[in-house]
Amino acid sequence: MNVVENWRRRARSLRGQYHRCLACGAFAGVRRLVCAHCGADMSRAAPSNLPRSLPAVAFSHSHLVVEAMNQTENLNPVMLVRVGDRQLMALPLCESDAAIAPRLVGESLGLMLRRKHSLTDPRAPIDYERKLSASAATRAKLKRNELKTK
Amino acid sequence: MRTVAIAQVNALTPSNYWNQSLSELALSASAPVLAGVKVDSVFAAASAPSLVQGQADFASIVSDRLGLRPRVSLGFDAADVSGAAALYAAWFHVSAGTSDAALVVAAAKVSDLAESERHALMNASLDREAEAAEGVDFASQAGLLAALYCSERTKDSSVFTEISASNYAAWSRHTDGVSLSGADLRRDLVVAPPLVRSDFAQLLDGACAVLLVSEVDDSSVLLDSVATATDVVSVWERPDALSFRAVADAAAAALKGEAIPRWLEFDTAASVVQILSEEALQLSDRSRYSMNLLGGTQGRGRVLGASPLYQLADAVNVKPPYSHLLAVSVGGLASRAYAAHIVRRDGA
Repeated sequence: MNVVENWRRRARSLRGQYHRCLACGAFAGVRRLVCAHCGADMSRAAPSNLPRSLPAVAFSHSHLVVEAMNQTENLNPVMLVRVGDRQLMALPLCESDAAIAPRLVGESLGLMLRRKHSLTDPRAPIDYERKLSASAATRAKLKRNELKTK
Repeated sequence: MRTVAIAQVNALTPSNYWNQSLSELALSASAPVLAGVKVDSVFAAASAPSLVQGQADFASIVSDRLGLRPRVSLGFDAADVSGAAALYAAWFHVSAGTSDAALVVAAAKVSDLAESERHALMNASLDREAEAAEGVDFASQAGLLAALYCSERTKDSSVFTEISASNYAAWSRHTDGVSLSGADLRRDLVVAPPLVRSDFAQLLDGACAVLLVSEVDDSSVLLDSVATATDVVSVWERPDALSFRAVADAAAAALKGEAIPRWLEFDTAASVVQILSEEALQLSDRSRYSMNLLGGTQGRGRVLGASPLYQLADAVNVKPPYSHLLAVSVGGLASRAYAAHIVRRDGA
């Protein structure tokens, strides 16, 4: 864990805030001089909260080291979500939702504060970041649908 | 601007070279190219040698090992398209008249690395402060891109394994190996759904050296032009994630108004990147084109950073189906692309 880097990224990691174009409303994951979507000046853009509910568009994960087929402990699930009408964003999904992740496509997910997994040191200090997570209502709905299909 | 010819090419077959270091691989590839030639400039490339080998200024290392004292000796690190960056600079120097014989060499040494470190090499092509900072790595972003492609274009995920199968089949024909069908590859391990292991190019050791000269005769293979273009590095911050603008722009600049040649070589990290690169070139009917004659980077394995130069080796060594070739190297998820227009006058 890099304490200084985490402090620098606290608005995004802990509060889910991104720089937002004042002209078109697109969010930027990094500070930019010019909006990647509309080309407007972003020099005065300020951090703004991402919507707290984001519809999921696609799911993937990365848990396999290709050459030797060694699987890592965690699935490292990721979700592509729609932000507003035109923008897409790739964000990590909670490990606890990994098993139902393919069925979460089309559902709305929340951006929650969750523990960040350390890939290198299991004894590292606990670090937190924003991850996507299904609500209890969404999980219950998927469970009901699963039972119906059985 | 002067005409530039590819005088010599030497590529080491991608493999695990346990007994050679990065600089030794560069030396092995370069030595046969240098015989009887007075090189006046060296352009050396490797993907993140400062990170992987802890070695800065790879160009001076290469010049030193080869016993050269060139007027120009420049190093290039542009992730997986480092070799293309070196080629671009060398082509520019020779065509502008500041060099008469330029050695371009690129090498990769990944077999020293743990598997997780190899895996992380492709992450270096992402914007480290964007999604990568949150653990959304290269493979999972490629998977998301593939899933979005299927959703937006209403395609089945078998489209990726069909591309992979055609690349592996081309390499198998070249090496008398066994080829697998797209259906066979669909049963491979799922790495980043919907992509399977075979959809990603395997990273291997290797090196390739190219000698560019200004002297041209009737049998010369000409490097007509090299061009490059960039895009927003974070694929999800582009106005359209499925539109590889850098590929289209680099190809247009390299071709200078000419039509897309019927012979195409793609250097990409994964099948989804090749498919979207083909889309960016707006190929009317895929079957009309000869592509990746030796399987491209998927078929033979990818020598990270040097793979763009392997395309030149293919351009020189294969029986040309057509006289004009467009070699496209796509960096990462198309944040950067290079295109080289090569002319084989003995081609159809």
